[in-house]
Amino acid sequence: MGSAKEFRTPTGAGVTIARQQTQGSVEDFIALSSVCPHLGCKVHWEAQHDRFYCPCHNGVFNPSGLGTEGPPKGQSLGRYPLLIENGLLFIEVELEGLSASEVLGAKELS
Amino acid sequence: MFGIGAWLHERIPIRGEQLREMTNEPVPNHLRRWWFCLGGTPAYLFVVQIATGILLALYYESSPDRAYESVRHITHEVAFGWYIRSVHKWAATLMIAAVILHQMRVFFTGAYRKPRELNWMVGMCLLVCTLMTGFTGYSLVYEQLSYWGATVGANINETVPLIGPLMKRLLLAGEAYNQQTLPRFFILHAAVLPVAIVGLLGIHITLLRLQGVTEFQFEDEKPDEPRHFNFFPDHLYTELIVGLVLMILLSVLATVFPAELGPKADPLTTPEVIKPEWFFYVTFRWLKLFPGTAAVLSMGFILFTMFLWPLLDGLIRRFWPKSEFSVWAGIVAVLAIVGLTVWEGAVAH
Repeated sequence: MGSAKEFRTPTGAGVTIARQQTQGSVEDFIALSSVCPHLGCKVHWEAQHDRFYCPCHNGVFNPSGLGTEGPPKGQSLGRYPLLIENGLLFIEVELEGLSASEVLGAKELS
Repeated sequence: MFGIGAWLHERIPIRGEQLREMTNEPVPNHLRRWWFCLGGTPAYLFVVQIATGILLALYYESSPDRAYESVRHITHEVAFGWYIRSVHKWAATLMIAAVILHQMRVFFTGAYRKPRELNWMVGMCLLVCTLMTGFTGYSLVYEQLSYWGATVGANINETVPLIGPLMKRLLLAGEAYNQQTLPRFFILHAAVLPVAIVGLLGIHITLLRLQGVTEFQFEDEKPDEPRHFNFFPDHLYTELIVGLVLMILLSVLATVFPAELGPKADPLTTPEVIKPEWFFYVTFRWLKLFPGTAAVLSMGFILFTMFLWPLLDGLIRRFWPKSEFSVWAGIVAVLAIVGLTVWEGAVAH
């Protein structure tokens, strides 16, 4: 609860997954893109301030990914759909742009 | 000797007096003061950049896999590589500073006014080309600042309405930074922009020669003194002295503060503290103060206003001939530039 984990999609995009509730459903989790919607830098989670922060132009996002301060105020971090199957959490990501072997590799890994 | 002279004269039919006439344009007395020679300073530094740039290009490799390693090789292993790279970096800094100071001098002395409006506009194009050369230059090192600077720069382009997405694709050679991006930056930095600068410089100097240098008279000048001196050799000596001082200054700066190599670009992590080179501090702070499109469009508007300033100033002075609006606008602009630069330089975020 309240913690965040960083993941990397097969295309190299960064995804931050945070657990925000403990009701035992997929709604407990949120998966957000780490790309700042302002000018494309990478945001990171600051646990001590309970926020995502973009170091390029001081963009601040709340735990739900909504911009609250700085130039991206009002904009949101991209959100990835999640699903739980057999007690495992899956992130749905695009595989566009990957070669066939990379897609197969990604499927084997998942 | 006479035979060689006659042979040469037959092929290059120019007489000594014609050559003297071409080079001995009378130069106004105020150009004895070095700060009026700031226009020649960036031109001199540009030659330094061409020479050191060619030497660096002998070893530089413009692929994301090899770029950083090749810069490390230049800095640590190639004989005098560190020195050439440091001179290149410091000459870029001084060149941009000299262009800005030259433009300020031209602005505050009103030297852009009729009939020299077009030359101011050519100068503005030179300023933009110089800044773009600086930007593409530090993007080539492929350190963290290079990668994130290029990403932010391309995304700034994207916010421009209508043509923005196309500009971004042209700059990055795709939707995002990829294998083709760095070669594109290198071609811009080492071929397209320098050629553009040479062309614009040619027009700039031609217009200067056609219109002549703006003449000023200072209070300490005696009325019976001649108002001009010869370009050759008098003014050439002044330029040579400025050039020699710059060479010494460049060498000292390159030796005492050599160009460093930051951490290698990591497309997955933006560093906690990231800043562009000092000449983009103003735009960097501006981007922090205003939302994306508003910041980019307002910067574009300011740049466009600067470009058209001789015409706008002419219009103002037609209605209010005694107006000093131009001077006050210039003071506000300089204070804003200095203020935003110091602000950005003084804080981590």
